[in-house]
Amino acid sequence: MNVESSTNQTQQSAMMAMLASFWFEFRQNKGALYGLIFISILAFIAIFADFISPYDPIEQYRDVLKLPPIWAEGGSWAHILGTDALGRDMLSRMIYGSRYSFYIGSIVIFFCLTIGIVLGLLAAFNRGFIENTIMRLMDIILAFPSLLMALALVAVLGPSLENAMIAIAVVFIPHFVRLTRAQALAELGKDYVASSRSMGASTFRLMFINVLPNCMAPIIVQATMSFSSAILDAAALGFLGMGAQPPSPEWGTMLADARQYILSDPWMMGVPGLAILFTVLSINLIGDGLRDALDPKMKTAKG
Amino acid sequence: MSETMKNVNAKDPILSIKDLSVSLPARADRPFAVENMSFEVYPGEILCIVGESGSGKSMSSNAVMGLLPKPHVNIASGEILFEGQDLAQISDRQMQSIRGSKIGMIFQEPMTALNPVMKVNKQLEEVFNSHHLKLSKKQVKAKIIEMLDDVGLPDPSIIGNSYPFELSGGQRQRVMIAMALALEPKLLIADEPTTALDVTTQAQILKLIAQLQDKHDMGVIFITHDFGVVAEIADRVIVMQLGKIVEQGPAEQVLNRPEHPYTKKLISTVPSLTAKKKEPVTADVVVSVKNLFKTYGSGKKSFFGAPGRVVHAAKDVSLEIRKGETLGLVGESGSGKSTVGRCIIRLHESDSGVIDFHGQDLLSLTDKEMMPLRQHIQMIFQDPYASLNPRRKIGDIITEGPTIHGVPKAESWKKAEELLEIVGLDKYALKRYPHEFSGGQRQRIGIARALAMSPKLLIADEAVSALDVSVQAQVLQLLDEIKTKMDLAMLFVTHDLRVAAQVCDNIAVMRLGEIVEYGPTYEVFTNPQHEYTKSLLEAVPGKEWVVPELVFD
Repeated sequence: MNVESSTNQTQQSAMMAMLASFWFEFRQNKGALYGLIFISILAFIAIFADFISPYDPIEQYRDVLKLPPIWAEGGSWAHILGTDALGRDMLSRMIYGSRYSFYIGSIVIFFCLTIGIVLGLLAAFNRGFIENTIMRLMDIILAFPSLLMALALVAVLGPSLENAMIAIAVVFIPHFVRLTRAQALAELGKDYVASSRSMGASTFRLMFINVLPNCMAPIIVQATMSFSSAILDAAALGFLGMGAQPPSPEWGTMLADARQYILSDPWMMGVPGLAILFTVLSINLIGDGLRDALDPKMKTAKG
Repeated sequence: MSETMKNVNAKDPILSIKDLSVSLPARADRPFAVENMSFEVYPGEILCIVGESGSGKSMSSNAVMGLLPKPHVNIASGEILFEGQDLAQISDRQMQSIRGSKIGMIFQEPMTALNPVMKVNKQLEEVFNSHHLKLSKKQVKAKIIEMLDDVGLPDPSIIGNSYPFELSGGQRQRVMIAMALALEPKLLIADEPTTALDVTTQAQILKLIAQLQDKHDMGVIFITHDFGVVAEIADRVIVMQLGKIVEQGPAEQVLNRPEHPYTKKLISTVPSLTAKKKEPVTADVVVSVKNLFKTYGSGKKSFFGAPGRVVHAAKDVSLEIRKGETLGLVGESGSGKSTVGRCIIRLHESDSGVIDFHGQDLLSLTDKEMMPLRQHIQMIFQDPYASLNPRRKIGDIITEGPTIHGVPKAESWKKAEELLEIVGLDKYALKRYPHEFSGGQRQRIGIARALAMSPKLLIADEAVSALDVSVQAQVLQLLDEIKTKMDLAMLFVTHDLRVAAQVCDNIAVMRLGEIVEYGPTYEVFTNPQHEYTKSLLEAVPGKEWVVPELVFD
């Protein structure tokens, strides 16, 4: 019994030590730390939007159209960030909009990871025809400018947020396939894989139990970076009217709605624009920090 | 040798190190890489520094060259006197002018030490240019040809015009030596310069270094882990352990009458080159390989019309291994010895031939039919760092095989505990990860993993080549115990003839995919028939040195 508990303790302490060293490395990157704080606050806002938001995001207050934010002349405490052209409360729309960002990022990354990893592993394990087919297909997707490709896909599928996410995922998948394949090929050459093979391990076992865990570090970094790109691309599609449709308070769509007032009421574009900027920046900073902590090979030299 | 010794001591030392300590960063396993080290190097002598990995032997030479990985590792105290200057005190700039011109250095990996995208000529030119010697282009060119000729390279002008990848390992190392000696340094530091080379090439390079040292009357610091090499070329020897010098003296004395217990232990673990006469094994044949062929590459032209290249890794290979027998498969790199092992276990598909395992031809089986047979043939790999999955616990690694073959988890874990005990590890190791273990311990884990399948045939692919000599001895002993206890047949693939002489019952010598000599170990070592075998045996470093029988007090 003593033995059992002591091994459990050593195991726990080993886990703690690994986490501690990860956190130590991550913390070295101040930018990543600030990014993490910003994203944590944003996540909190997104989760508790129902309680935080002062108004309903799509209710129109006809008596206060285009009200400026509190710091500008004519601002009012009733609508801290002002109202848009239809009298909807900007703050509430921003708060609900953060939900869309996380929704888009998570779903896109989920598809990218599952499909990208499976295709990448398939390519790495089946050199020859299957590999060539998969990789050339990916090359073709990569040959198109990504936003143009996404636009074309949405045009075919029909403009909606869900279709925009599918289009963005399709555009991003090749990066994951390439990365997974390259990582898996490097691991396949190692003797631990040969050992498993010589024991008669099935391909499935080799792929997911032996090889994949050793490929994860750079894939996680790529996923983080793509998370922000997905938000950005979704905003771009929204701005072009191909993403989330009005009246949903998605940040890119809000930009599109405010476009015609850019000269008269610039805050209407400024607020969602800045929100997108800081969110994407924070996630990229986190990605950099993760890279330093998880994947020392890709670390950039510090000058 | 004793005569040169006298001459040597009459002169002043070129380099004298006094009380040198090199500090390591705070999180390292010991405070100093090198502690209170003092020694001298005289002109015209070869001083060997020998020790196991982590003994600080390379750090001491890096300190002399000013190549310590600063700022983490620093000279804490002591003097490095070279031509009346203390190298520990001078600036980086001053050091640069000494490096290369007065002290030359050769490294272990000739491929990484040469710039891969620069022709040999250019790299040699750089040596001259960086020291502002004011030689004309013509003079430099003539000098380069002379140097390349000096290190025994044929056609210096052709070699000079090649890129490093066009040269063989031995040629590259010769170029490295030419570079190091370009400006006729007084001191040459050679850090394991032959470790990455084949045994015949190694013999040539060792001879070359000794010749050049004699010709230029240099002092040479030769760092190595191999006592055979020490016996081959050393005038004086320094033995290091954990950053401290434990013994120093003339080579003859240290090798044959060592005093310090650590030196004794190291020397006693060096396998002797003389094979013992063994009773021939007459038990049942476990595996017999007949006419095995395997080629790499294809004869087809590539898409752009470049002709395909074919390498014969196995050409008409036939051998058999009996129960309780160890067959040594020896040869230099590229001889196809590992390929044969991997073909038997079907990690590589063979082109043609028969591998008869207990009456079944393994090569004619489909993957599915092969599956139940896989547990009978197991492999131990060379690199203990790459052969264990870093993301899985030792327990999962050892029980993977049995799990695949349907053994219940509780049972296989219980067996894994027993196996760890057999290979000399604590059973708590099961819940830990590979990175927590040393190279020797990992190799034990690899052995436990192979044994978990209760194999009948064990293929050891250079299983002890990456290990320090004392650890090597332990692992070899463990393998021998296991073999006897479990009555295994073993295919022992190695390039090290000393190890083969001690371990194997029979020996097959391979060259370019062919077995050129095959017979009982004792016969092959005492009376080699084939020219190639003779040249291999001739090239073993320190072959004239008989490892002494030491008495431990």
